[in-house]
Amino acid sequence: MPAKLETFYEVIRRQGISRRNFLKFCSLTAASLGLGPAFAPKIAEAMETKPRIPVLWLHGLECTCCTESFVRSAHPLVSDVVLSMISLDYDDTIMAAAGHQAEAILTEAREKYHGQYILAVEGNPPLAGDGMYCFPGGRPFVDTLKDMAAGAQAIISWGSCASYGCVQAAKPNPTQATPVHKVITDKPIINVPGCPPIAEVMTGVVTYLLTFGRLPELDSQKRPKMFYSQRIHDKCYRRPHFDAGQFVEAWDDENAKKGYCLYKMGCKGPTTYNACSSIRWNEGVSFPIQSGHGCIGCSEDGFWDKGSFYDRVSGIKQFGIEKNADQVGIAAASVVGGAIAAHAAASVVKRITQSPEERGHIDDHHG
Amino acid sequence: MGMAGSAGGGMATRDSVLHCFQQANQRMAGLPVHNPALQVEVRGVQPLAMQDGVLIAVLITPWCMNLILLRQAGAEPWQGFYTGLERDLALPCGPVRFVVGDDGNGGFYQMCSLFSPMDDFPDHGMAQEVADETLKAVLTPPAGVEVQHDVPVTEPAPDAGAEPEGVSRRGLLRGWRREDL
Repeated sequence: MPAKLETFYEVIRRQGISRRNFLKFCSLTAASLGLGPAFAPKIAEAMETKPRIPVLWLHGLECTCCTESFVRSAHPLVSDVVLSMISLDYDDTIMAAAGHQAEAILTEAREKYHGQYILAVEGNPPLAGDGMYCFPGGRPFVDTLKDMAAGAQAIISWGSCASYGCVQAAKPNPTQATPVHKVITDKPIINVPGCPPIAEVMTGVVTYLLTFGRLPELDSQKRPKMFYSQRIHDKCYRRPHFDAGQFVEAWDDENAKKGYCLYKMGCKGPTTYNACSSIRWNEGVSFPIQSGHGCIGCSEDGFWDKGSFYDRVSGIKQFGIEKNADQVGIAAASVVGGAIAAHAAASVVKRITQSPEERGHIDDHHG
Repeated sequence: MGMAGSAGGGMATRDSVLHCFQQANQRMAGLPVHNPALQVEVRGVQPLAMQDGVLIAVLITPWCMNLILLRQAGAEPWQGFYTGLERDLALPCGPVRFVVGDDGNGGFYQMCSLFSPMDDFPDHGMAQEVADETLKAVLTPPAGVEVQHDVPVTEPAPDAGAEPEGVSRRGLLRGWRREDL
């Protein structure tokens, strides 16, 4: 029998957060989701009227960098509010309970909120040896994952581990580490790749799900389009140097000091879909390229097996991943003749236009 | 277009941009991102209706296609520009973010990436066709939306969305703890 749930607002107030700060949180969230200020009242209304959605956070084969990123969300208010909503249930890194008590909470939460909760999964299940390579709480993680997924309304796959496999799935993948969506195939799944993902992206995805009660628009790799529809290359502040053929030729050369493009030093910006060049890291302070190192492409599938971080991106095929983000290449367009140019133009204009409605796909009747 | 050889005041012109990218073309030749079927061209230069003294055009090169903004000859130069500065501009198609670049002689332009690299383009004619269609689409409002005139070019706030105006992140947190808890 599913439990009756409080609203988000009731939970937030019970946690000692004032109404004023609740409204501030709504504005900050609207901004972090790329929505205009007009959406803040809609978020507030949804949180005041909708029942709180419980979040259970599992850890498989991973390094906990996703949690570390998440709890360092740029704005303390955002992480306080989001954590007060999710830490009530289960996350073995930040919960107070331990040992048998913690595992009991997991089982209890699964029964109590059956069919209602969001399952956030950090890391992946290794399938080799009957799952013996990841054994939390005395049982194979893959079993826990399947049990918990069965009662979830949707699953968030945090980071490159859960989304793609990451380093533990690198060749020869001895433990057969497997992305969550290849093990759980009957639930809505949202992939949030990155090693780790950007804190604002994580809080943005959680808040979107909790506030609007549905998945944001996803691309063909199940990534939220609002954060993963542009490449690092598309929004890089060093892009004018790439365009002008101005490259760093060796570490610490004169061009490096001038802040030239790092493409020749192996930057994977041209093949990597992520929001690092626009949202940036550590409260928007910087991102790898701004610190003088190329992008290593950590949010792309199989990035450990694509050669050295310092190998120059080369070849047409590598850029072919564009199609994965639902962009329509000229050659791949499903239209003929002169319509190809118009089709390509329409696609690119849609991509460069920073329209909140386009990016977030929020309709009035859902707000 | 009535464009002088040099706009003066550190502004790039169609010719200076063309020259800069033709030189870059020599440096880029042979790199994997260089599509030898294409040439360097600045196309469709035209005044931007909602921005006095601003020209919009499309730059085609063998490695990228960009929207570019130039200052019209005689117009007041852009102030406080440097390479890498990001600026948002409300175009008829919607808000678009541009990045400031320079022509190698201190002349500034603004660019927004459309395509890069250019492997998908089989020949220059196709690139020209897509460039023209894109410029047309950028300057056409989406159905049911009125064109906004006189919308100022604005710089995105630093750390956009991170904190309300005039209150530091730390101050906000402190204020909250002191007043409310």
